[in-house]
Amino acid sequence: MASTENRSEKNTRRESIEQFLYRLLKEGKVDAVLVPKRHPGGNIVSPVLISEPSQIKGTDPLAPVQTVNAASIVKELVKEPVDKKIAAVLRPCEVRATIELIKLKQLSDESLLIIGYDCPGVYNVKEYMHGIENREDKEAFTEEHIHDFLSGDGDLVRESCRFCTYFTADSADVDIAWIGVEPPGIIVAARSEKGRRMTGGMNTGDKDAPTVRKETIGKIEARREKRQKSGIDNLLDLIQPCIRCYNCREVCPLCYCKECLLEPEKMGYTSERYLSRAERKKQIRMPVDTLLYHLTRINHMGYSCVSCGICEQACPMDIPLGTILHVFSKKIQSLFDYVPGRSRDDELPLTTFREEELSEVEDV
Amino acid sequence: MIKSARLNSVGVFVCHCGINIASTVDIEEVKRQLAGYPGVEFVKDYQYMCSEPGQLLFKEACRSETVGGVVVASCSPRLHETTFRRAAAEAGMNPYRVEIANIREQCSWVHHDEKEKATIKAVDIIKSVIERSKRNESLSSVSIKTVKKVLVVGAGISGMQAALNIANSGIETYLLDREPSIGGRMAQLSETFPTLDCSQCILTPRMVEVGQNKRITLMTYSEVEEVSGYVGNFKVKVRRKAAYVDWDKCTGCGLCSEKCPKKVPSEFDRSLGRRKAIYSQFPQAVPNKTVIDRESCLYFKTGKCRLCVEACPLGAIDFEQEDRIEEIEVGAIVVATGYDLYEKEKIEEYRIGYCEDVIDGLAFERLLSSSGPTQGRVLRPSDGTVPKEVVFIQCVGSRDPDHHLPYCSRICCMYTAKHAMLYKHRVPDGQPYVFYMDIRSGGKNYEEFVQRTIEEERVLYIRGRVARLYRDGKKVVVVGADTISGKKIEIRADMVVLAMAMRPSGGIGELSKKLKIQVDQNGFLSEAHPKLRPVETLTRGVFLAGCAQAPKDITDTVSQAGAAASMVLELLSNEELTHSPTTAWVDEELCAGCGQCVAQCAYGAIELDTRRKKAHVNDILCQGCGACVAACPSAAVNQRNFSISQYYSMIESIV
Repeated sequence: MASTENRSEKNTRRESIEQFLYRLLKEGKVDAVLVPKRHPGGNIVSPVLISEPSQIKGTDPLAPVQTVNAASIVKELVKEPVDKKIAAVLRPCEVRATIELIKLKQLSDESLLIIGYDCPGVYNVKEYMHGIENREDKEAFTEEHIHDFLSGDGDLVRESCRFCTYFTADSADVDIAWIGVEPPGIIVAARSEKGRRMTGGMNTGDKDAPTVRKETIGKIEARREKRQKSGIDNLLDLIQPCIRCYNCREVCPLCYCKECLLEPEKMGYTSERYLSRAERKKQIRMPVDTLLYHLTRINHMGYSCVSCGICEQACPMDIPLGTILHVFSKKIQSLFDYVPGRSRDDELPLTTFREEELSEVEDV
Repeated sequence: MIKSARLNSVGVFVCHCGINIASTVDIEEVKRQLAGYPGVEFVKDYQYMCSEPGQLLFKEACRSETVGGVVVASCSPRLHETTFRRAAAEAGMNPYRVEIANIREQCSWVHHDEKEKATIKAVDIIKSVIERSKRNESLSSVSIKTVKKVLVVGAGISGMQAALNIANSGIETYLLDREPSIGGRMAQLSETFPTLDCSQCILTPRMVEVGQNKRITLMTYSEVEEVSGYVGNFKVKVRRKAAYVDWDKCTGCGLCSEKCPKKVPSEFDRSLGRRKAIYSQFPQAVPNKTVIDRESCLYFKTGKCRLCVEACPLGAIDFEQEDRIEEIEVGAIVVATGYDLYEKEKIEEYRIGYCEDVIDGLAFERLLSSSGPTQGRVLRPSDGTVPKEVVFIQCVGSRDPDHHLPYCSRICCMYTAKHAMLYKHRVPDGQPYVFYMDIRSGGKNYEEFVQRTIEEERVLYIRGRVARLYRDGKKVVVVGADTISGKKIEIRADMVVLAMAMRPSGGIGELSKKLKIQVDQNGFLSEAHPKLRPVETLTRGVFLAGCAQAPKDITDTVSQAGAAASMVLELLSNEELTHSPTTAWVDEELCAGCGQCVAQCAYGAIELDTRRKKAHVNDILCQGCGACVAACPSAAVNQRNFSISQYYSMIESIV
């Protein structure tokens, strides 16, 4: 059931979304909107916090580029309770990371409205900028990308997106759906009580209704599932290039510690220790403990990792961190039948105890 | 500088434990390897460090000015950590500077066929503990004031015994039971083995004594709702169930029960007799009060009747009554919740033969009891005739790990012998048969009792299992095998008595969670140590007595209840208790307030200040298990004398 209002005046899905966000802000349903917007120059799109309705023009959540996982921004934005209502327009992986952060008590969501949308996937920033540099019509690039997404994901799309099966934002408060909807139509659906309350009267229907939508989603899921790896057999080789720059940790939306225990001073590396270790082991690779570093990150993030792949984009050494994290986290999460960000009501695996879980490691 | 250098130095003792360690681990080699290790001032060895000369050697070294800490490489710290810490304190050293390196359970015992490698491992274990020891702080223990009151949960013979022992020593005791009366299972029994004392005759004086004891507060018809706090300072919320009778007014005259038109099977009589919807459990009940069973009461069902209201001369009936929660504070808790029988419906192969005349052992007790539904005459429940052939089957549900319960229920051999004997006394021309696997009659005068049953009473004992039961007219046909003669046996019985397995009484799982105590694989409460701490649990201040811990007879139950009482008295004889200081603490600079540690803590010792987003550990509740330390991704939770930097250095020293 596509929204047909003002159809003749709109040309693209982007503009339909823009229109919805404009009304949201203009009608005072929220006080500010966090949304990706194309910057002057046109070659990059990244999150902007907008409080003046006229500034909504030029926002472009569908542009296939993700500079940061915006959950990191949300975490910073509502780290303490605020009395203004904020709508955050997020990709599904960002929605899921935000929900994990809520469960980890790292943000106050009382005044936060999470708006999710169908995500066509992204290119790594460099690829995107390279691809769009010489294009006149920047928006046409997005439309072409959406076309590719619906028919098969281009080779240059970020690896994590190529195997992502969570490209719809089912756990958001409000969901903007366009897959299976005749362009430039979109369906705005409230998914939670808060969503209904805050966007009352702006919903345009049940996004699950069109059968063509379900079919299209099913096809994309099937195609992407096939690309998922079930194991990593050369982890040591893969992380060899690591220079311990900590970029993967810095960009991870879920890394929430105030001070990382993997910092050299916390790890107790002293000059004397390096030398005594080298003496004992004949030689040590410098920087040390890259394996320990990555295993600890996997161990800490594995329960809640949403496989956004932002760590892989941030890695200067092109380590396939997105794939590595995905393989490990999927195994950890399936042990607990847990899907991060699926619902606010699912309890974090480490904070619950069920007698029947993990029986395979008991020796009875 | 000089002081810290001293604190960083360590003395090492290596115990041979006779040949337990020394025959696998090369002690001389261990000494050689540790001699030059950084911070090690001396390495000494001795045959048995825990012996008196060993401890003298140890104390002497603690007195010496040169070491800041001592490592004892010996058995598990669970065994002698306290020994050496106490010895260190006597010698003037901070006890928390003593660490145990476990080279017996974790090394020599498990690697006795790989001596060389075991020696290397022993050295590594000791080195890592040396690293830990070097970074230890001089901690001092925490004191807790105690509430000198006790709660006993379960008012059967064990709970009553414990309560009497404690109360008679001058300590106020709450005695709680979920039934309206105290007395428990023993009140249901007829006569007791091996003396054939009438159970009620020996029990009721105790019940009266409990009822009259000024220091015992009865809380019957009540359940434990919630337990918080810790040793010396438990807060218990008790649900006082609505009896719909004002017990302050009720005198137990029984007029209400006489008038009550509604009859239902009596739980106390194992459904062989009937009780009214308003009832008291049995004539000698303490307290002698009635309760209304809401499920059966006509007034609660239909809104009409109220005959009990008319009958009661004291106006004690109160249909409006509601459960109420009473909060009490106690310093210690004894759990004596007793047993139930395994359900006979679970025995598939007998089920086809089930009829009213196939009953369990407790039901047979009611038949034998002079205050039971038949006034002690053995009559068939189906038609009231005297059964002439009765088959007793032992080990039903017990000792059957493949299908039912793996353990021996311990009392069935004895009570079956008693049943057969008493049956023979009541029905001299009747023939009892007993199917048994083997006879376990360990206990004073027990074997003699069984022999008397077999020889003097001519009870026919058949060694073998019963394969199935089926009905044939008024008879129950018992099909079994005599494994001594190798013959198949079929007995056309008038009655069959099943010695059902004992299992912990219902609700023990929930109660154990509320009390934060463990249950074993069979659901019985776990003792802290099977031999040396049989009435303690791992939660300090919570003790065990009776069949809640394992099947046992009355003699053992009473002894164990006395033991639990003496442990309680020992605990509460101190004005203050001390608590180990090796607890967890939160570095607020690092704490991100995610609350994962809170969810991990089995002792409810961590709270999250949601406003400040900081976790906080309660020193007294913390048992130092370290679960929170492992859960914290920020390494903001640390355990005293087991800090993360200590872990790192321990690992560093061996890899």
